Amino acid sequence: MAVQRARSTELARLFNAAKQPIYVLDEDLTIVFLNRACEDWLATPESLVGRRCGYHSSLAVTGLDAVAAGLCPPPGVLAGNTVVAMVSGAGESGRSAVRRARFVPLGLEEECLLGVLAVVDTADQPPALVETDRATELREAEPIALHEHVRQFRQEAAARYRADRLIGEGPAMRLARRQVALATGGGSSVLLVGPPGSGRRHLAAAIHYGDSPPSPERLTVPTLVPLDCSLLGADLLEEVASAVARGRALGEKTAPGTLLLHRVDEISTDLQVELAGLFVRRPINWRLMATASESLAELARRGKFREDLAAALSTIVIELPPLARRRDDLPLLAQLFLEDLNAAGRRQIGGFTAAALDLLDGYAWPGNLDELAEVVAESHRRAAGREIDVADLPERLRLAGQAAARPHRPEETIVLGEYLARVERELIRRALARAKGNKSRAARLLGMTRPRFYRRMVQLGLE
Amino acid sequence: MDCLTTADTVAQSAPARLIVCERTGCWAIALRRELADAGVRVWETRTLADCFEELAESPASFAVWELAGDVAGLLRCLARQGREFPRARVAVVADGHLAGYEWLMREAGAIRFLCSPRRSGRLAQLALRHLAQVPPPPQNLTERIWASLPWGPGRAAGTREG
Repeated sequence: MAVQRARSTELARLFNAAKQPIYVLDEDLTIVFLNRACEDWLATPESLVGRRCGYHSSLAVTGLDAVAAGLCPPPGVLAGNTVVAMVSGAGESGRSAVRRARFVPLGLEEECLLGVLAVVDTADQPPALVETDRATELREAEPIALHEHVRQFRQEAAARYRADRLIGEGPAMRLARRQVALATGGGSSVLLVGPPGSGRRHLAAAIHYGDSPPSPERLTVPTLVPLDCSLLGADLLEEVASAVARGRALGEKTAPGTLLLHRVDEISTDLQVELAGLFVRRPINWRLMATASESLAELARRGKFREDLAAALSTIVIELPPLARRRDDLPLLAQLFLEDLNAAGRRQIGGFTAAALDLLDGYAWPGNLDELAEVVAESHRRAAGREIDVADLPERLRLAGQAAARPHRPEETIVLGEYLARVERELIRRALARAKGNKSRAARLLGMTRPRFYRRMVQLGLE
Repeated sequence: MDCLTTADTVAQSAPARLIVCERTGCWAIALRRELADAGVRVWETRTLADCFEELAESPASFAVWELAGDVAGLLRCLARQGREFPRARVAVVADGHLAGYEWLMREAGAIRFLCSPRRSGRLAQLALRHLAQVPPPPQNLTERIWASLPWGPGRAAGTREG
């Protein structure tokens, strides 16, 4: 024991004698050692040992936390690679000195990272070099830029995905709001059931960001990892799920986050077996959320989904009704989407005319909230006045409204010969367009001889 | 088709497309090679503004966007896509040195993040799955007639060849 202590002291003496700033992080990116040169470089009033230098997303990290954050290694190190990257020695005084550092991952065996050793250059990087194109490009991959982007993105995401945007006064939406409040802040698995486009992903994000709002006190915000089960291959789903189940970092070292299995009811039976093996038998430190068109318990009862996996994913079940069943909420929802567009761009549209709202109300909305968002966005682009009027709405809505308003008149007839002549005329036009005006080729496309084709053109008034 | 210019001839949004927005064209070339047998056309744009114009025509498209350094700009575009074209899906591709952004881009809404055109086969499969899942725009009798033409969906004289 005494020998070991002596060796540790000798090692510390060696590091402290080195002219290069050296620091060591443990597996959680907590600073466990800084040599004297590093302390001199950072010039902090107290030691940074014990502070984390993970990717942060707080509103304004200041003081020693900011200094520690500037020392964060790039993601490649956590994947087991020795990486040269820039670190910032931005001290409390506000000076910013960027230096090159070599990061060496320690003890990466069986995907287990023990720590990171960082050796920093003795001189600051000249600003001119940092500003060259290549350096700028490379800098993007460095921790400082990544930090900033993660921080900004999560601040914006937390503002965008808020539970108070869950508008609706019907019983279904009131119940959904209560369940969201229940789910937020807990670690239970959440299943969001509703038709495609009903806002399931938005709600999942609202619960995730509601769990962990960015604040100056928090250095890290858990990652949200959405996986679209109906699109992504089984191999990728399994790979990510397996990493999550083992508590491994996904590219960046963050606190355990949320795995969102979108459209989980569409995964194959084989993948259900794999996921059950990962999530059912052992506890995991990630939160699980899933979306589905139908209750997983109901699917399990019909033998279409594994019962154990359905139970693991359905601790809290939140049902979202289709838009057609919450028409009273439509004006408010449309206005909400409009306000988002106003906030994001230069065009400011005040609202909808009463006639436009009537038309929105009369539509079936098979695509639910997603379709409403698209319709509002399209109308926002088209609108010429201060409000969105009927003429600004997509044509399909206007014509659906006209069709609904027009009483069915069984006596209304068409003249078949005239109707077919018009169809034939259009076919000939299109064949000619296809044949680039060559009549013989157009005739062949329509299975006619050239003289007959020409005769029909004359008869139909096309020649 | 003046007799059909009622509800029958509504100009529906165009069917979903595969749109690639990149600087060089290398991903588009790789995807064309992968999709040669599937008969899927690859639409190319050089700017995200152009890509949004394509999305306005085909809101449920599958887009491939290149991350070329302007991370904040791409994040803003992903937010815009989610706001204005929620049925579209976006995959982000990038040079290897930007690999660290994978999970940020995914969190922001990218369905996939790839760093090598050699893996374009996976991207092609993803695009095919998405295009197969998107319901075709509702067709009336007239549109069904044009769509059934043996040379593909009919285009009236004077319209551009797609």
